[in-house]
Parts: sequence; structure tokens; C-alpha cells
Amino acid sequence: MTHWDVNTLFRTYRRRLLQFVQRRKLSWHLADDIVQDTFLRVVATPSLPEQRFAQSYLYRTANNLVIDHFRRERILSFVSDPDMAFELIADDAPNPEQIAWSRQELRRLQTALDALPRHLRDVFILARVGGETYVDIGKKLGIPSQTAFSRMVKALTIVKEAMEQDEKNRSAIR
Amino acid sequence: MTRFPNPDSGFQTPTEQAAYWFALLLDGSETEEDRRAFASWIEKDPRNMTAFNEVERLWSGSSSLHLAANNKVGRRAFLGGTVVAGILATGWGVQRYHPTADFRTATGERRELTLPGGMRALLASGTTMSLVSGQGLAGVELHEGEVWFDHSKGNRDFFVAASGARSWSRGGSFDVARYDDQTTVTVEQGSVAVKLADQARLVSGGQAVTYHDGKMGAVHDVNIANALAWRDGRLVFVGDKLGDVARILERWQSGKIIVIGDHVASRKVTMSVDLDRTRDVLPTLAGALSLKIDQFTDYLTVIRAA
Repeated sequence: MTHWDVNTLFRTYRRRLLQFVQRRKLSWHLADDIVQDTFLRVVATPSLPEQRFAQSYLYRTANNLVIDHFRRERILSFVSDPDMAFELIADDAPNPEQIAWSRQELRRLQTALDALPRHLRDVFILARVGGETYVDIGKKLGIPSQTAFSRMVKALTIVKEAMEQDEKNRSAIR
Repeated sequence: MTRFPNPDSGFQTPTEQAAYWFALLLDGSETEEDRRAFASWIEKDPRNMTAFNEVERLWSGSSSLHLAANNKVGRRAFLGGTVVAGILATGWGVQRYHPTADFRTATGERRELTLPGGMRALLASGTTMSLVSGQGLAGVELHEGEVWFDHSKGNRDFFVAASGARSWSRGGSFDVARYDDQTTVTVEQGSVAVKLADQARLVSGGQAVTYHDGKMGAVHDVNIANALAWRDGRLVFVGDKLGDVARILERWQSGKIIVIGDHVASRKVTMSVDLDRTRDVLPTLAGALSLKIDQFTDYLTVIRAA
């Protein structure tokens, strides 16, 4: 059973994480949002490791969120229509309900990811955890990079459809 | 590298197409042509936009999950974990949430009040403060925000606690601002002794000191009229970075101001803002600095290079 002392972690790591994130050349308030989001994730995540791994967990999550931010900004730059661009960055908006994942939602996501067939799941994890390119993933798994790419598309599609189906079932029950 | 399969061949639903585009852009090996195709795909149909945002959100959601190799048994063990109390779930962190504070102001509000003992205090927007006592004397603890105190010499000694330090006054007027656990004490008249663990600074009229994370900065001169202009309903910026200006404006209005790009955030700004009309400020700035500013309802303003 995992029970982290979030208050203590927050006091111990908040500033360090903020410095860590700011070193990635993010403005202060974006860095602050990312650190806040990191702790919100601690509260909401169903699969926390043991607390002795808390430090690496916090840094890894914050780092992922920074990478996610830069990816979003990069993709945003491809879209010319400013109204569209706003829609795309809407996830950066301050409304915590929009950003924050609920515990139930994260649990469903975890379940959907766990249910992926092994060959799709491996690709997803290498891309997510290792941030690896399809060329690297292909080499590691001994498959062509195009296959790695196709598996990634498939994995994302399945997980999204599973989440949607789950959502429908839940509203049917209600 | 060899091109990835074209999305039109086989990926039918918006979900599949969104997954295709997300996977492609994630890798970063896309071509200029791909980028244009992506832009036209996402602008073509609102359902595409929605699907893409949802895939993006799934990916982002997975960033905090435990995704090590396939050992479902080990992971199940975690799934039963107790719900960690929702301390952080609704607010933006413990330090900004003080349900038991004695005094609080709403965003955009300024309020003057008289503390026990007859001292006057003027609270800035979004301030929370409680009455405390220590060493037999009365004081306040500032949790978040900014307060100007008028402590006439006839009153008893008084202290303001913030971020682990105490500022002692024997009479005078001074201002304490605490944001994100960085505290600045600005003295208008008289003097204030700021004590942080074994460090102490005496700050006199026209001076300020900032401490942060257990470290005390040097006492320096400040322009009191500018620094404390908020009392008269103004904010004054002189050569301040746009990113800092946005952060300060955020304290006075609901909603978020996002500055995209470090070069934009570091642009220098000099201006005087009427606190009752903060929303007019950014459009004016946009013209002056040739920036693009989009305001979306009251909740979000995005500033970026034009």
C-alpha cells in the first residue's frame, strides 16, 4: 500500500523542482505550473512507487511535463490560424479542472495501457519513458522503424478508444 | 529515413488520424510538407482538433504513470493504495490555501482594516493573513500576498511573520509582500528589523530587503513611490521584464497570463497601470511592443511575438 506524505514532499522538493524546471529555460510561472502539476499528479496517480523512490519519481514526472510543454509549443508553431493555435494550447490554460487528471481517470488510463498487447505496449513505453525515436525503438526491438511507428499509432488509437468506451459505459451506468 | 505511411491510406476515423499525427510529430522527424499537411488537417474539421487534443492529453496523462516492464502483479499491488488526502487536489498548493486565515482579500480587492491595538493595515489583492502572538507580543502572519502597515509609535511593538522570518517594527510604516515564499520588506518610514534564523537586517526608510529560501539578500534603496503605488490604485513598472510584469498583473486580475517565448518575456516594459482597469493594459502594450495578444474570456491572455 502506498501512502506518500505529500505535504512533506511538497516542502522538501517544491523549490528544487522549480529550479530544475527553470533550468530548462521556462518562464517562472510556467515552471511553477509544471511543479504544481507534478504534485497534483502525485495526488492523483494510482500507481505510485514506494515512497523511497519519490525523488526520482518527482523529477521524472516534472521532466516529462516539461518535454510535453515544449512539444505542445513546437506543434503550435506549425498551425497558422491564431484561433486554432489557441485551441491547441488550451491545455496550458489555468483552469485546474481542465488540466488536472482525476484519480479515477488516471486509473482508467493505467488500465487501458496495461491492457495493450505486449508488442504495442513495448513501443509506447520506449517512446514515453525513454523519449526514443522510432529509429531507436526499431533497433532496440529488432523491427523496422516504420513498424515501430505503426505500432505507436495503433497503441494510441486503442488506448483512446478504450478510454472513450469506458466513458460511455460509465455514463450508461449513471 | 523512409517516409511513414500516409494518413489517407488506411487511417479512417479522426481518432486514428489524430493518433497518426501525434505519433509523427512526437518523433520530430516530420518534414515541412508534413507540417503543412498537419495544419490543414487540424484546421479542416473541429472533430480533428478535438481528437488531436485528446490524444495529446492521454500522452500527457501517461507521463506520471508507472510504466516499467510488463509485471502486472507488482503494479496491481500499488493499485489498492490509499487515497492520499486531497490536499492539493483543488487548490494550487498548500502554501496558497489557508482556510483558517483571519483576513483575506479577493482577487482585485484592496481593503483597509484596523488590527487589534489600533494599527492600520492595507491588504492588497489575494492576501491571506492571520493574527499570531510570539514572545509576549502581538503580530500577524502573512501567508500570501502583500500588506502595508501603519504602525504609529504609540502602539506596542509589532511583528510580521512571513516565510520563516519575522519583521519587527517599533513604529513607522512599511510593506511586506510574500509571493511564492519569497518575501520583500519595504520600509517607508521608521525602521524595521528583519530576523531570519541567525541573520538580521535593519531596514530604514527608503530601503528594502528580500529573503527567500532561508537566505537574506542585501538591503538596498528603492523608489518608495513606485514600489508602494498599489496603495493608491496604481502599479508602476520601470524597465521591468514583461514576464515579471505579467506575473504582477496576474495578482490583480482573475485569470492567467501566458507569455510565450523567452525573448518576449524578457522585453522591457515601462508603464503605469490603473488597478481598476488592468484589462486595458495588455492591448495597449501589444501596440507599443508589436506583440500579439489574444484575450480569451476573462480567464486567459496569451502574449506572443507578432
